[in-house]
Amino acid sequence: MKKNIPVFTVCCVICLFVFAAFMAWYTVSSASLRAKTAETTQLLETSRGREERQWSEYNQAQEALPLTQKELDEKKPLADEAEARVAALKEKRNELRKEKQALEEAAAKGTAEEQPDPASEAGKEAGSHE
Amino acid sequence: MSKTVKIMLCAVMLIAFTLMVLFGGEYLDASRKYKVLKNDLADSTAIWKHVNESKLVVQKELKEVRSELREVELTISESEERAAELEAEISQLEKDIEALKSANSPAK
Repeated sequence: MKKNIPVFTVCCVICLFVFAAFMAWYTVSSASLRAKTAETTQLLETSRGREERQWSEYNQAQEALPLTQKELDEKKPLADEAEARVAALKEKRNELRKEKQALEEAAAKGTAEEQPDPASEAGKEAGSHE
Repeated sequence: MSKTVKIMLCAVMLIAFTLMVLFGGEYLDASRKYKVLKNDLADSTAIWKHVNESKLVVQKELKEVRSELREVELTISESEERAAELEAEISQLEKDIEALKSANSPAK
């Protein structure tokens, strides 16, 4: 005896099962996707903030570099000039030292010539005593 | 099964199908947005990393120039100090020489 298969009922049951499975998947996946999207949005905001800060720091350094370089270029000749001046003053001081030394030697020589010989003075003194 | 029940079940299946299409569409849209966000995040991260590297290079260069500038400033200040000392010494030496000259001249 052949049994009549209720095609419509089977179709209905399959459709409802498919719908139930879809809803289960959708609920889980949708929640997960929403969470991932929220997290990524937050990360993106942080990254954009970081990007902005890096740009700002880069621009600051980029602006400061030519100014500092200019200042350095302006001060370098001053430093060279100051060093040259010190060298010139040292040279002058050395010359003056030599001159002073020569004068001191000349003065010492002059004094020695003026002063009598201590040995002959002693002899004279001895003769007068006798 | 009566015809009315069949029609009702058909309506329910149609509603279920419509909901599946709607939710599926919404999910696909959200998934596309998430992919765009992820790409934006990757781009932004790559940009800030690149800018950071460039910034470090410029900052290093700036640091070197600043250090050189500090050295130059120090040289200037030290040279000025030394020059002042030397000038004082020279002035003293000139006075001593004058004194020695005046002391030597009557002796001659």
